[in-house]
Amino acid sequence: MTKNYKLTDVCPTCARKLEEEIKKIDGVLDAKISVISEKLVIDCDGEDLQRILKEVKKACKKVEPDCVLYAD
Amino acid sequence: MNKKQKRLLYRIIVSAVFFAAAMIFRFEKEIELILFLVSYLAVGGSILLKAAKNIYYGQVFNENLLMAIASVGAFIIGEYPEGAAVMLFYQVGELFEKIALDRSRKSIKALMNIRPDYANIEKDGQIIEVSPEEVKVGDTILVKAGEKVPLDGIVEKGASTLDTSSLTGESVPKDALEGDAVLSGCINISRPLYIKVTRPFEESTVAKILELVEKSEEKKARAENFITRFAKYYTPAVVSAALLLAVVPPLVANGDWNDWVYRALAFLVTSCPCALVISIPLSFFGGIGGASRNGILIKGGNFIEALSKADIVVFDKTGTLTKGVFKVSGIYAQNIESADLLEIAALAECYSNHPISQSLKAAYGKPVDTTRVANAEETAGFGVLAEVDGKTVLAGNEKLMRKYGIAFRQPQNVGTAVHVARDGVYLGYIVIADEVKPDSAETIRALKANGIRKTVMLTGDVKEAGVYYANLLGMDEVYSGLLPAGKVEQVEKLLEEKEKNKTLVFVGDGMNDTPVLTRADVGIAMGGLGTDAAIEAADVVLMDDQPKKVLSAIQLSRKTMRIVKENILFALGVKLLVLLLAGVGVADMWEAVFADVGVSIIAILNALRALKISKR
Repeated sequence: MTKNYKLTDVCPTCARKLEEEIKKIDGVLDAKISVISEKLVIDCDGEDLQRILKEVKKACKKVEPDCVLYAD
Repeated sequence: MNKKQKRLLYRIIVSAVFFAAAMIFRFEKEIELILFLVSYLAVGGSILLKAAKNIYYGQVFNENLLMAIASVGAFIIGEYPEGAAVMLFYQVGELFEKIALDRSRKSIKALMNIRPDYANIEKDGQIIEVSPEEVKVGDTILVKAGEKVPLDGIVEKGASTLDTSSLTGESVPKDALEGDAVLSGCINISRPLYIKVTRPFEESTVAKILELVEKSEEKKARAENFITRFAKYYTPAVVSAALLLAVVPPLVANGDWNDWVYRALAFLVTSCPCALVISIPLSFFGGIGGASRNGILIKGGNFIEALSKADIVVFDKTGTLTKGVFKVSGIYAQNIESADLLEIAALAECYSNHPISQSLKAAYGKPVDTTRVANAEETAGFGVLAEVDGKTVLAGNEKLMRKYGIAFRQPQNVGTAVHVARDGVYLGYIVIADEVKPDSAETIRALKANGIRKTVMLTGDVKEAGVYYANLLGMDEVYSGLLPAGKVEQVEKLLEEKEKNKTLVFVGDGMNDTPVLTRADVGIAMGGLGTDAAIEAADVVLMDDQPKKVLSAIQLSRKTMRIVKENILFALGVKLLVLLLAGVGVADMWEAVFADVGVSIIAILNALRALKISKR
């Protein structure tokens, strides 16, 4: 399943780093960040979304502390 | 500016005031230190924190660390003004960078501001607004004057004019009359229209274009990938180099510690890769955004790169260089009345969707009685075999006649000849001619003038027609009588012929050219205002089917690539020079700050030019 998140303050470089970090998370099949539309699209296997979201947020903090992620 | 950016701006102002005070007036050494420290911490506190956080998370090498080491180092060796200045100017650059990114983001979003917010549908006698996703195929929606058409459909009632500029870049309004197909994303200008929806929102033109533009970021140009890889090795390399520079000369050659540490710090500040890392992707965003404003959708930065190196441009004929609107221009009957010949041909072709059968039907002018036709069988590239009034009718090109061993007359006119035979007897032929698009000849000429080595026409049409149109348009080569597979073969031959490191561009109308569009280095499709196959298969889609947009696409790709190259050369050049000068002790911290922030700002301003592509 795919999940959409909005995120702010991503530069093109940290977006790519962040993509790589998120792809490493267990249960995440693919991750794409659009810098123009400030969107993160995650393709995941649907189990334990809470944990995945938590780890995504952690990855965010790690790569770019300024970046804020909104889950809707 | 958003809230965060404003906060950063205030911090920069506070920092600058303290910095200026310390620089202009004479104070005791201790007070000076305090002023510089306040100035420093106002802007640099967050960077120090970020650098610490990054180290904690194991992301050691980045700009934050470079700046933290450089500024802290400067304070330690007693160069307070330099320490504060490094952070102050670094943050000015950061703010500038964020504003630039926001601006280009906004202008691209504005171009893409075609997403409809609502659709009006009638329910229980009342007009209500619903979200476009909720409308089903077959529903009738009302689009009032001034509103965006939310979904693709056919005009059921009403007559109006549409502004299609957000889709095509074309400012001339288009009529929408009863029975006309209208596309989502257009704006209804004059009178209300009732539209019967033909596609769900997810498949609508608007949704597809938006998806395409969003996805264009995934396909990176080589130049972009180069910069990312470069930055990965670059930062650790310069940090190690700076460390060596600070430590080795004092230890080995008995140099002055303060002097060499200072040089190393200037070296660090200079080396910050921000200018490249931000300006290159920004240029590609700009190029893609500027193109879409002109009705040219480019699916990724890699295609901008490829288009800029175009060497051979291959065109499909029908629907690409010509209008693809066929009209019967002559009937040459033999052993039969002209009207009867037309009737037989129209009947035989009645099940075909080929443009030729459409024009036969149009010329016939009466409703086709399909009960008179049986066992119709169409062979692509040949024609139709059908039973009309119980008699076997062949209608198609010369190949079909030869296949069935029928002697036919050689047409003298240019156009497509449909030969007709009934029960093995030749009945004559009907000529259907096509019209050249008004900007085709001009486009071919301009392509040559702009350094395209060769223009080629590939067509499924007969040799006479191919040669006629190719000469008319001034093309270098023409290959006719090609089936889809033949076109691929020909393009493969041309691919071998192109110059090294150059590309072959294929322009087609997308319906039957899918295999060639995929095979060429860059496949450009005449979008046919939203032909699905075209949008899927092509790398570049021209929304308004005008050949001259091929030239625009090549020109703006070249402009974008030129900006990218300028930035790479300029940024690397200045940095390398200042690095050297800093290493030998000529350049001081102030020059280093320029090599970092100054270069960054200049490169960003240059990148923003890519977005500004004048409307043609």
